[in-house]
Amino acid sequence: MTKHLLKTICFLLISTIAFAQKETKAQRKYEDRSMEVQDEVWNRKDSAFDVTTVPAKYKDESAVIIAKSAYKTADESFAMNSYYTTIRERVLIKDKVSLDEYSSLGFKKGEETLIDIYVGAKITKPDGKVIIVNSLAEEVLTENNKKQREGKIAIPNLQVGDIIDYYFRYESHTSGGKEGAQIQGPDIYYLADTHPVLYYNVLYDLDKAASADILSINGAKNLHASRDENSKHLIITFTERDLPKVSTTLWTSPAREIPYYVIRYSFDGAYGDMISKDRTESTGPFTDIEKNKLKIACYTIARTCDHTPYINMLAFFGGKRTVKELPVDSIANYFYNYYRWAQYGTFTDMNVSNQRNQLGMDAYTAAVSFTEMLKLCDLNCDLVLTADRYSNRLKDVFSEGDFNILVKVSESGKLKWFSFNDFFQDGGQILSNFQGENALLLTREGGKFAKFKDTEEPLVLPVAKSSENVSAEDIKVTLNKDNLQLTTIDRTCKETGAMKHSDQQNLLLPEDVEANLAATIGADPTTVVLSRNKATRAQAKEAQTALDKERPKQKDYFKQEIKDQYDQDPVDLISYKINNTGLSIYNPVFDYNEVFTMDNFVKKAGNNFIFEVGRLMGSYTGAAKKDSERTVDVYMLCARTLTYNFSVAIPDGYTAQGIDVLNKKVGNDIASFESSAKLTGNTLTITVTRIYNNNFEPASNWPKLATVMNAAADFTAQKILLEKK
Amino acid sequence: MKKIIICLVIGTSLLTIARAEGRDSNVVISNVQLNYSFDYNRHDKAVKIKEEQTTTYNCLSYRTEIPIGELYNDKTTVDEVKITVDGNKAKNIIPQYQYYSVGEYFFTDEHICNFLLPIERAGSSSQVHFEKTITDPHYFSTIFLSDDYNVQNKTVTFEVPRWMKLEIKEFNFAGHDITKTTVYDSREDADIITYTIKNLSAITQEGNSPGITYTQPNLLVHCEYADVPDGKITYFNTLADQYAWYRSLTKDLESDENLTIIKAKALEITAGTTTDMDKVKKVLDWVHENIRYIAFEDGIAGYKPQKADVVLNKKYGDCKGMANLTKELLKSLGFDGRLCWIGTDHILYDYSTPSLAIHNHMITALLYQGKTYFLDGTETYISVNEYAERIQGRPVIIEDGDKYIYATVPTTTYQQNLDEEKSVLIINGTDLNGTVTREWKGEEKEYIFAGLNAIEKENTTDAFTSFLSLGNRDYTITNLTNSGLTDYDDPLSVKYQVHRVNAVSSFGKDLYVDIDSRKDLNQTSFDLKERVNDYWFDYKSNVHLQVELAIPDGYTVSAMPPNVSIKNEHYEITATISKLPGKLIYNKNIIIIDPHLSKTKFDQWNKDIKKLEDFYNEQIVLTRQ
Repeated sequence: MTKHLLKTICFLLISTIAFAQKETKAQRKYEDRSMEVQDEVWNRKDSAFDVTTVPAKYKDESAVIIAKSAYKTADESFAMNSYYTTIRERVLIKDKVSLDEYSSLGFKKGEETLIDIYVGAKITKPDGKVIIVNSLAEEVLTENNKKQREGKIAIPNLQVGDIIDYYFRYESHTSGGKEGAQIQGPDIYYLADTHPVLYYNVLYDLDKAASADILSINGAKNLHASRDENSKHLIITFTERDLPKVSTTLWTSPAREIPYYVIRYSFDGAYGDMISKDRTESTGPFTDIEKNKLKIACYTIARTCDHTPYINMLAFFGGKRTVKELPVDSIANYFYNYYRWAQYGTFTDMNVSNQRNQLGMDAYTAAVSFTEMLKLCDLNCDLVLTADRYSNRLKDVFSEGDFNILVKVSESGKLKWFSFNDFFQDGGQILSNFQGENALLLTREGGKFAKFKDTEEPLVLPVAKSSENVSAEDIKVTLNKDNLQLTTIDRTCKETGAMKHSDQQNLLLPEDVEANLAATIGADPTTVVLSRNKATRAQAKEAQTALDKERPKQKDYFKQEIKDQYDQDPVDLISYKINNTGLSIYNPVFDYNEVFTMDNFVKKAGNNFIFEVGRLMGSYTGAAKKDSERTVDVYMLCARTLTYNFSVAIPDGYTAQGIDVLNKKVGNDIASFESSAKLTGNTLTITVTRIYNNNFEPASNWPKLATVMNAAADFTAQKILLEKK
Repeated sequence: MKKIIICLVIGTSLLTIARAEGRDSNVVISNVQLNYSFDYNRHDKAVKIKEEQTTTYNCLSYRTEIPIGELYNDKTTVDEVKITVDGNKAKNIIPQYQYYSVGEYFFTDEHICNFLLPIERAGSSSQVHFEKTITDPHYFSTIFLSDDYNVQNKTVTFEVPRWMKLEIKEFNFAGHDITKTTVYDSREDADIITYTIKNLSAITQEGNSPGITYTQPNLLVHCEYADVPDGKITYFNTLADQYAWYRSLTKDLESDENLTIIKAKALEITAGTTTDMDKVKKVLDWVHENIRYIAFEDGIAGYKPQKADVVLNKKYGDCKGMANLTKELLKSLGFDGRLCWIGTDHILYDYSTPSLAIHNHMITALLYQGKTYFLDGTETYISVNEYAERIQGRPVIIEDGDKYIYATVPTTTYQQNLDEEKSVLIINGTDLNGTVTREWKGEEKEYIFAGLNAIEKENTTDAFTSFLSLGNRDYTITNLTNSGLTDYDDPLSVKYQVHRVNAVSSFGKDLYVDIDSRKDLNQTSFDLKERVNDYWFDYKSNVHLQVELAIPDGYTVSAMPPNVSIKNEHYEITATISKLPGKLIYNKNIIIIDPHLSKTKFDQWNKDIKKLEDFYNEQIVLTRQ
């Protein structure tokens, strides 16, 4: 026994020593390589990284990126393929904010990526003195094991006025040759940054076995690969100077404004998502190619599509014969609601808060399955591929994931659209993010085995008119008899189209959403279904308990909505009610009512009172002064109409003065604001209409838009006098 | 140094959960058994403390998963974790052992053992058992009795062998069902001290609450010494012992070589200054401006300041490093600079119980001409002789060779923190035009400077203008000048012209003027049903607003809001309008004398705020004759 124990201890001791030696060796190897990389990076010739001054025009900037670069090499060999990336940046620190921003560097090597990371930095002082940071000595490791190396470096001796020059080197290796070849990228290079950039260089120096896909977007110069005459390496490079700082302002779509490049490469053999093969380069467009790949994915979904919705639909409408007589709308809406209901899910996961309403749908599965169901009913429909207004354009698709999908249903020449992005999109409508975008059709053909034929020329998806996205508020105001400075507001909001979306998500209880969606397809709510079966009765009870516990929290949802609207908490929320969830295409208006009291709207003024009636429209700041010379286009959520009908009961013993100023009309060809007021007996009625005709405006139209926005903001400051008789 | 802060930060993260679960939780802790026992290891010649905790979580309504986390570090190990779900061993739950990122810290030695614990259905329970070892009794200090969830039953037992001398202090037991028993176990020659706790509410997180040591029942364990076979091991028997421990970490910080570098820098910083206090200011300003706050919390290093030359070279450090650098810079100039250990007002404990839990901060003391000045390297925008609320009145130990000096940081009055605005306005149609001057001192000044320096340089002017105009697009500010945004020692002052569009309402013969656009403390009533904890203002306040409004020719004042005058030992709020020939003078003073407002005062506060709001909601009426 003792002998055995001794042996075990000896073995453990030897193992520990061996392991420690291995660790030390690995660490030494890492340190040696780190020094090699440092020498390589600092000695790489690029005079832009020697610059120490910036133009005077940047004197007020927080930081200026003097130079930045990305240098990539990839080598294929029989033994091992190697991929090296060096990202380097040289930044002049001009205030404490940028000092904080650049004062530490974090790095992480994950097991799944098998990447080694080397970090280096040096500081150039205003007097020209250069200090190399000993990154190995300075780093602190938060994880350091075989699987993971994670840590950070606090840059020493960095001060405002210094230049920091730092790099990250990523080195990954795969097994050699074609078998080990992996696709690298896509890498995206935006020609703008959070600080001005004086110089930007990207260089890919890739093995002769490399192929590359390259796309130049948003006006970036056409970028091409070339071959080195001697080595036959594939070279991709660009240099840009004086790149602007990204502007942050209202209603923008940076993905549509900032020029950028997308690059992907690989060696022979690892083609997968690659478009270029056999040592070639492709510079796009890739939309058609990616579309064809998508067809295969759609085919796979179609092949495995479950036909239960079709059977349920027949049962819902009373059999095939009845269904044949039904309008297309009815059938399409049934299936649309079915997939919304199915993906919204049951409450067996106990996720009962309104956070559930923020979940997205699996759009591809829902859209393809939806078309399969319509095909079973011999109805014409197409899959529609488009882009998101806040992402790449359709012509700039680089990968399958850059597409978005929806469905077009044809009915007697009329088009109906079905978007499957979340649970609150109206059937028959296009998600606002897709409106006005180019789109391609994939037409389902074939019988049991689906085929998809596509269109060559894109169509343009229609944009909903301002009359289709409406927020209409009906507000009745009474002043408390005993305290005229306490107002009771009875507010009813009716919203359609894109204007109801976020309010539905925020105000509706998941229990009500699920019940309403279930009702549209003739199903019962989850808890009812579960309670029918003895085996699931306990589950039903449990879910209902959770749902019941959530229901009182709807009051908080409403309180938050009021606070968001008026930038002030209500004194008391007296009642709240969802009049209509707006989830059914046959009753699509989201309609809710809340009655609450507010203070601070009415000011005492001697014997009279000043009523800040403009605040009833909600908090609204208008166009920011800093945007007066806007240069970027305006991407709004949607064209829209906002109307407000205020009915103010003038308290007994008082008259309303100064209502004339409430009559105002400002308008142009893209937007308008109009307010009017009239006194009938003791009731002051104010009507306000604000209309934005389009979801997009070129930057040149900003002044027109701002005029209307500011007119609305001015209205919020309007007051009337309640004069004692 | 800031171990306790870690506890507090962790407490805060637990509080987040508590807030989510709240007092109407779906989960309740039906039982906790927490045992501490002491063992002397003759091989290591060290006392180790074994901690065993078994917690049973019950599901009240519906199944859920709750996050469980147990912290460990260089001085604490997690030895065993056992998990059972509904009575069965949960083999499929694999605890993760990870680095734990703590609040403001750049790096700490804190790690967390965590996992998601399922509680499978209403009425079922899950149980977690942790075994930990505290390897150094110095680090055994605070035990919080409350938890993220309501606790029905909890037992905390200390098996204290008679050779181990310790004291357990109880805090915030009032109002809770907590009993204590002590039994002597003759076989083990140990005292068994048991605390039995029943029905303890979950911790509630609220902004501006006192630190958790004030709000939650807790035990502070004071390990004095151990009489073990190899002799006596003294921990923190007295404050002198604790100081000696600190001293052992700091006495080797100086070296002649370092002093040369430090002295050269000190002379460079103070070049051109003549008076002593100017030199001190220059040194502190330089540290504030040039040393970034980056905190490391790594085992013993968490209590050991970095050497001054290292901080000087790196240009970053934590409170310890900044304190030591400040001290060394001063010493090199011939001043008597000393290191100080202090607990901020986040900590309830006083010095009657020596413990690492009583300190969470280090500053520098300057002993000069019979007076002691406390210099805080981390309070970037505060001047010499101004003190942040968090250290005011706090006991402090100042190094003094092998001894220490016990002192208290001065408590300043509200007058330190001035925010004074004076406007001279005239009515032009329905607009108000005029000139405004405003001055900030003390922590009010620090607040402004901290805000401005957190904004990118190119946006500073816009942000400052927006702040001064209250973000109101109808207020235009022009000709804005300031006393300097880089000198943090002197008061900060600004002067500008203001044009407030439609600030006056005109109806018939009357003009209606809202004299106070700022409306300080508007809508600051407490929800008496919801608020659980006392409210602590960030600091004492001394806000003055004066508006001189010219009465237009041909107008007389026909109505004004009645004056407000509230004065008590905690705060003063006055708002008065005086009529003078051709003008009105509006004066508002808001003085927070005592920044700690207890719950018992909330009702009175609400009534007083209502009076102020009523004042704000009443306009001045000027009537044309």
